[in-house]
Amino acid sequence: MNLAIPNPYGVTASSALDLARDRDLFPTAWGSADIRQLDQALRERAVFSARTTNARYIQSLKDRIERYLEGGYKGDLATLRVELRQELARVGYHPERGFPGDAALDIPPARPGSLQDLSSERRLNLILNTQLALMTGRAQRIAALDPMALAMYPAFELVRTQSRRLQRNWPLRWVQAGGTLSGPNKNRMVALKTDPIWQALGSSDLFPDALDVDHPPFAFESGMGWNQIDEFEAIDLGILSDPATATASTPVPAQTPPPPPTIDDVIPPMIAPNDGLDLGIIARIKKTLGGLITAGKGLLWRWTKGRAEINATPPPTDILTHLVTLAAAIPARSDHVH
Amino acid sequence: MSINLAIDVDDQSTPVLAALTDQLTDRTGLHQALAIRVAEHTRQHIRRAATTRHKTAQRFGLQPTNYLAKKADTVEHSHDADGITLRVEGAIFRRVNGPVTIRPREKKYLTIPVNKEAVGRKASELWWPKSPSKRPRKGRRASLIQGLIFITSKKGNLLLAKPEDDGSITPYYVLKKQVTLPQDTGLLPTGQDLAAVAEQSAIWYLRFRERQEQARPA
Repeated sequence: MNLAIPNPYGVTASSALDLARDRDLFPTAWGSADIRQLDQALRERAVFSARTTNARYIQSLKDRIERYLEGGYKGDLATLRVELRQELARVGYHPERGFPGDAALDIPPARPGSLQDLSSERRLNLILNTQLALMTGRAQRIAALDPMALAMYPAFELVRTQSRRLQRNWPLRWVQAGGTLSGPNKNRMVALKTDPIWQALGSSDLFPDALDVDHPPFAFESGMGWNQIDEFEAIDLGILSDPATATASTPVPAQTPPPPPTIDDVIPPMIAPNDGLDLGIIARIKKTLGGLITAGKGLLWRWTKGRAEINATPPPTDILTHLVTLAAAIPARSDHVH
Repeated sequence: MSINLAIDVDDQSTPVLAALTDQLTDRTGLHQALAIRVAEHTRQHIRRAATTRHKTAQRFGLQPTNYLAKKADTVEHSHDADGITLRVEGAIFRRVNGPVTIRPREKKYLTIPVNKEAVGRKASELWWPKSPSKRPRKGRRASLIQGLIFITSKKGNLLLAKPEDDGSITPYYVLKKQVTLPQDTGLLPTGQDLAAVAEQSAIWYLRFRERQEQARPA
């Protein structure tokens, strides 16, 4: 089977880059708090930075964000910082005086080197890294909500993906946002992809550093991201009910929390692809391969109650040989009765 | 340059995938299932690899740049009836195929940081506010004006270093005409690893289609 990984050096298009390119410019004298009052859809569709009034610089910033997303030659953070500082110098920016014309806008002066100084390393790193994380996070969310991706992985787990010297207390935020910690040690932050907690985690109404998005990074420089969780793990963690054992019709006592939904409740109805596979063929494959699926190179799948288990105890070699023979003997499609 | 990771489909290691590949008249749906799972697996693999590749940051006691972790977030996938394509962005992944030699483009030397202040920064970003006379002036070579000078170490390495007021020298960068990074196959999953993931996807797809067929009105 062909798995192609094209040139990994900044020449392949990406959905994150498409999202970044499809944005307008929004020069503004407003600070972060004022910008938050804007409609979320408008913020998603525009490139802006607090107290950055110069349209030419915003255009330059947008170009560099896109190059950072492309990641190729001259797409590294240090090069982009140098270029942006050069652009700031060209348009006459000074940390204490701002851009030419800013004096009339009541923009407070910035201490050189501080986060408010548009030319400081901290500020440039912050905006470039935040924009990269926002665009890739949004692209991940769009891809993860594709119907088949939703069916395969119905839940997200919030995990630390980047190290930080000072880490915010995300489990506490999770609970404050209405989530329940899962797992045997009650330390995993897992919820269905459609759960409102993702919106709450990124809400600046709850957390002052939040970015008002329902996807990673949720907050400035969070270093947090998503792992996708499959149906079986979601059932193990109590996020989903096992369809085989779900008793949806059983009346629930008033004080007992309702059972979690099953996978069929979560996944919207989809049209089966017309790929030539019907129930008869599925049944024959399962009959032939059911039970122990395969073994080879130390790998084993066991099909138990419709569920694939990985790395189960290997059976004796003669059984393996028999299974492999059976697998190879699956009749051709034309042999099946439709 | 592409990275080729073939997934071997055979009756021994991937019997369900082999059976489905044989049975399906249109493999688009199967390939989508494979692409989704392979991409997620690859993303998590790169994140795990990122946790053990912080040598420069560790040497200088710095916060890691998270370069590789950021690359994990850019993994994307596409598919069609013929196969799947994984988008992995970053020159670092060329090391999966073999050693990678890096040479400077447009400049004379590569600058390899040997001082924590130089890590993640270009030489032109380094200047010392306490020495305003050494700050850049128009039309002059930045590396000299900013207080950095070229010296040759006792070992014969060309260095970009800063002369201190007390007469000592603080090296910031080693200058190299080229650097060869060793092969690092662990940056991406192996073909065998991906074959296991593909088989898992095939089993899932079989189950998914069964559910779809059962949900279809009679």
